[in-house]
Amino acid sequence: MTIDRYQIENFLYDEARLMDEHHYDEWLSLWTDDAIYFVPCGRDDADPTKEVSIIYDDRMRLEDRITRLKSGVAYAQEPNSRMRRVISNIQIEKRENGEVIVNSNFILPELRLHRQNIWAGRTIHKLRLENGGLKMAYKKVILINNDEELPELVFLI
Amino acid sequence: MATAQALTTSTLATDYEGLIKEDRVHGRLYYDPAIFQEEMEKIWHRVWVYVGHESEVAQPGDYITRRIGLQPVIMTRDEEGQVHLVLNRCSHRANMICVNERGNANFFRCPYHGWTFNNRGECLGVPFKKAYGESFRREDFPLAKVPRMDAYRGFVFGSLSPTGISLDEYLGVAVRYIDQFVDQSPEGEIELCAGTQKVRYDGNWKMQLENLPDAYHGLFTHESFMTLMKEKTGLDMTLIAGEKSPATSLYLGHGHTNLDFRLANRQMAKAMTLNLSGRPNAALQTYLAALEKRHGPERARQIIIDGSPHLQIFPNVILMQKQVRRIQPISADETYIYYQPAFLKGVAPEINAARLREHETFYSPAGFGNPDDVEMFRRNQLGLEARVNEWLILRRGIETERVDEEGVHVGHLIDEGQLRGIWRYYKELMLQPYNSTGE
Repeated sequence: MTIDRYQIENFLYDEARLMDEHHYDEWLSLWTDDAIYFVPCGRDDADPTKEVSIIYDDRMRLEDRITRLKSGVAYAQEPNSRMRRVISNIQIEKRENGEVIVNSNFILPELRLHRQNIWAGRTIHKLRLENGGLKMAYKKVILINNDEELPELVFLI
Repeated sequence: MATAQALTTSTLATDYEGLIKEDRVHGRLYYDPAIFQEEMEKIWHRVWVYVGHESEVAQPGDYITRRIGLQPVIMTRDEEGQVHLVLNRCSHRANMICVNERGNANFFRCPYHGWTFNNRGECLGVPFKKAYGESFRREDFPLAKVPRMDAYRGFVFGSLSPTGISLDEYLGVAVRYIDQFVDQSPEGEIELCAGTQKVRYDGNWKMQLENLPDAYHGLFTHESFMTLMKEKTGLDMTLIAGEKSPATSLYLGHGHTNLDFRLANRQMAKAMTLNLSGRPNAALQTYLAALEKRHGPERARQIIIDGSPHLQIFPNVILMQKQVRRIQPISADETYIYYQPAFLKGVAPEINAARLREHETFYSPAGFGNPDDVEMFRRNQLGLEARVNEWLILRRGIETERVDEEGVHVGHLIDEGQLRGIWRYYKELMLQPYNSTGE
């Protein structure tokens, strides 16, 4: 059974909405057990074994991230950011072993405590079918400003 | 500039005696742009300021660009292996001569009029030189040198003042905590080669300066992290970081501070076996073996249990946990922070990779700790707008603080004697007149 483009687009839009609206548990349920969530630091193709990252989460750290966000005392997200991101330029890079690699661009206005930031970048998703639904096994977010001085980035990107 | 400064000091001199008391400081110190300018001149452009680590310019020709206070500098390594600090300003028409953050170059060529300099800052070439006249010698137009440079265990410091105390004297007893940090490497060397996390916040630079030695905030600002730790590992962080902790806060002189967690770590180590969390066991055994080869089994075990210091060298560098952190003031209410995880020389790559993951947990714009500190800095700056009673209180431990035989002020971990020490030194520097450095 192949994954068609319509399914992929729907997945990306659904994921975007869950992140925008802080539906943490639902977002977590989109991940596989071998998940890697990667936001490189300093350069787009940084090697996470040799270079520091902004985020490099495995499944366990992803769960910790969500637990903390739900604690009510993660002050950099109290109150939450208001966000509405736009996903576009969706390109299917390749399909192999039942998985699909998808690239897309995003632009993300984020408003919190009177200040609006505009985040932008390219995302690489590795998606696979599990129990009849699409899941993320790998997600790499390439921020255009990953080598700049950043404000708090505690919401889901 | 000199005229403007003279006006400031003669007509609007800030009353630092009035703003800084032993047990409290005034809010104006954090938001007044005139005080910020004065700090640049009297602190940042005068005392020893950390610039970079020798490992960042490991090869001949390597360079990095940084700032000392607000002044742009280039740190280079020449063909003979010598490290240099020069101002990043063409001697001709003041263009910033290098805009890259790092690189490798034998010479710098100014793109404006083509003047060329080697990586020692000497002027090599001036296009169409004839028009400058017979007496013109390009040797008279090098890139300006940072007047004083010195290093300790690879940490390079520069001072923009041509005179003043030596780096050895400036660091004083703080060197033993630099040693504690670097000696975690079996070769006694660290490398800053794993990139830099860059953070900005809307707040004064002294908020980071005071936050680092302040253990009191940890249990509150970082409650979400402490709770997570307890749920996951059963580790009660209040035993290490709370009122019952055997750890101490130290004021080391010249604005330097350390939180000495060694007693707490040793107590924890007694209760638990060596904490191996996140570290591949085989790699850890090799690490231990390498440390033992250098130091013997007892000291090797001690090094691992003691861990890192929580050291801050005034005014801008922090050595703690896995990181070297720099504070970069931008204006009275804007600051940059740079985090560089340190790799240990002589350990397996898995150990250094695990250090990266441990570091990222707490310290990153997306970490589980740093963003909450940054949030507090911002709220702190917002609160400073309330100006009916402008005092910030620094009283914790004021009746129990003691001074040891080396002049180190010792208090309980969550006391504030180390902050009072920073402010005493700050006041001393700010009360000195401009140009007191022999200019």
